[in-house]
Amino acid sequence: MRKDLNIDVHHITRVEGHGNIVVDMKNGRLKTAQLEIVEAPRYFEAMLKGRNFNEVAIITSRICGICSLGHQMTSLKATEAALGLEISEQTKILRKILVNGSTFQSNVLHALFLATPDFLNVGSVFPLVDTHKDVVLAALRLKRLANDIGDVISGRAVHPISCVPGGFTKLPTQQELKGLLEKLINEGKPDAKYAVDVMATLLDKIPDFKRETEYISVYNDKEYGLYDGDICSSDTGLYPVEKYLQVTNEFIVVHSTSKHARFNRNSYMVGALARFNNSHKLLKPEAKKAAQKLGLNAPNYNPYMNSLAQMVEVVHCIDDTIDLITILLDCTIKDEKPNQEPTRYGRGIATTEVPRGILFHDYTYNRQGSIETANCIIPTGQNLANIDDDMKKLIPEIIDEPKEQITHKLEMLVRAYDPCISCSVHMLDVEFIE
Amino acid sequence: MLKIIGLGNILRGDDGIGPAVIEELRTVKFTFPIELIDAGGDAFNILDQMISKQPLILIDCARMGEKPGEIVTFKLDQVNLKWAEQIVSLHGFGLSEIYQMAQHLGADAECTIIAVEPKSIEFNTGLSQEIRMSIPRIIQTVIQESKNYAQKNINN
Repeated sequence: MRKDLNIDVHHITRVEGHGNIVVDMKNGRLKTAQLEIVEAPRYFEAMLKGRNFNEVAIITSRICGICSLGHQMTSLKATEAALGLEISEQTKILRKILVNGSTFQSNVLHALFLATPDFLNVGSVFPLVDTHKDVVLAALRLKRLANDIGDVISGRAVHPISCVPGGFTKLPTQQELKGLLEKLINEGKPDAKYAVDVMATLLDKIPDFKRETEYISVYNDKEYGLYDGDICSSDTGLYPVEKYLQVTNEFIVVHSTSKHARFNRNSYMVGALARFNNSHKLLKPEAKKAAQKLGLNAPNYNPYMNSLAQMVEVVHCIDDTIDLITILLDCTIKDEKPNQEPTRYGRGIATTEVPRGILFHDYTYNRQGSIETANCIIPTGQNLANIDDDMKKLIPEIIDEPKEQITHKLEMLVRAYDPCISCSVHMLDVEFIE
Repeated sequence: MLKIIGLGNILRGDDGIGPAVIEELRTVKFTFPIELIDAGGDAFNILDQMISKQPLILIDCARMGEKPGEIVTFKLDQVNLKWAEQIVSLHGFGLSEIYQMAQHLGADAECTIIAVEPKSIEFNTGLSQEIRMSIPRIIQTVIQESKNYAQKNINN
């Protein structure tokens, strides 16, 4: 049995986030197994200070190029909670459609473009363009469909402009909604089914690893929790969003410029697998079938299965969007104006599930309607301690495998969480030190 | 239809030049059909556009060793891929990789890059004065490139 192992997976250039995997084992004792985050802090909260309530969601939507819609929704809800702005049922349905679109778009791109190359051990998505062209094109069609949803519902395919505090400045027409519905039924559903079928052929490539942890997600007893709900811990149940600080308990570690989080255990997991574990009973029937096909049963303790949970959510979000658009068409769109008359100025806290997990925004507004303090807790930070704990359990289990294989499985583990730094881990140069 | 796409993050200093130019172009009257797209920082948005067969003009900042605000226009092709490597996007996919992937998927749309040398891409800084001053020239470049496309279509 190998007694010594030193892995330093280091990456610096050309990515939005920087992450290194560091492993140090001496005389059979694992001294270090961690994901270092060396990205410089960006101080988003400072960017928000002094901003008027009409600007805030636009700014936060640019925090992340991939989770932009999720930040925007969470921001709008936090502002509405702080200013006492009630929104209509129609606004909620339109927002849920947008959240569904951004979720299935991000999930399908991660599962097929970033995780699948790992399963096939090909290093990147480029070889798949030749070997799996049909599924790459299906993924791109699904992405375009999500952009179409953004275009119809919120005025732009990327970075919506018409969803504002209190509602929408422009509403879709019945005709536009009908067009979207047809695309979802005729293109979205078959493409999602095809993508699930392809993923189902790769199940034997997924590492056999289990580590039970605490799973935290939005939970809503009426629907699969994405747009809104309470905070759910798989260990201790439900908490109102106002108590989010009791759940996240952020703390600083030396090896990461991003804070870590923990609640009832040393670490917890957020993201598609956490949502699946907590809310699987609320999935649409076709999504439940997809889960069965992908061998995903709740609770599932294998973090590598996160990519499969993402594909299950793709099916769910498309079917849910079909149902929501049908409701809108049945009721016909009402010509509502956004409610932008604050009834109070104070603190507002909101949560939404973005593709990578539960997101919190917490704002305090002054009487001029400008932000005095803000706090944003993003999913990737909440997952970091859990990734470290996974590595500590995984490494001794695979210690006798070739070093390249160990490194591959560690990188694959990090990417399975779909962190915003997954790109950097994808491009890592690996250096072994004997 | 000609697609004009701005790439970049408006929170990241001069990286926001692409979206800023797109907003300016919304006030320009074109005599032929165009689509203006603020693609943010997601490279996959570009991939989607590249395989749609319609010509593209991409505006982004790029480190080229020029003076801040200098504009370099070039056609995206195999010869110019090293230029495209300077253009950074999210998720580890640079423009050159996206271009090559699009080619593998059968794309043959003409793609013109209007690259602008940034001064700073630090977070929370806004556009630098040098870059702001360059916006009218960028707009003129975009309009000229658009006319070239329109002329070519008329001739064909």
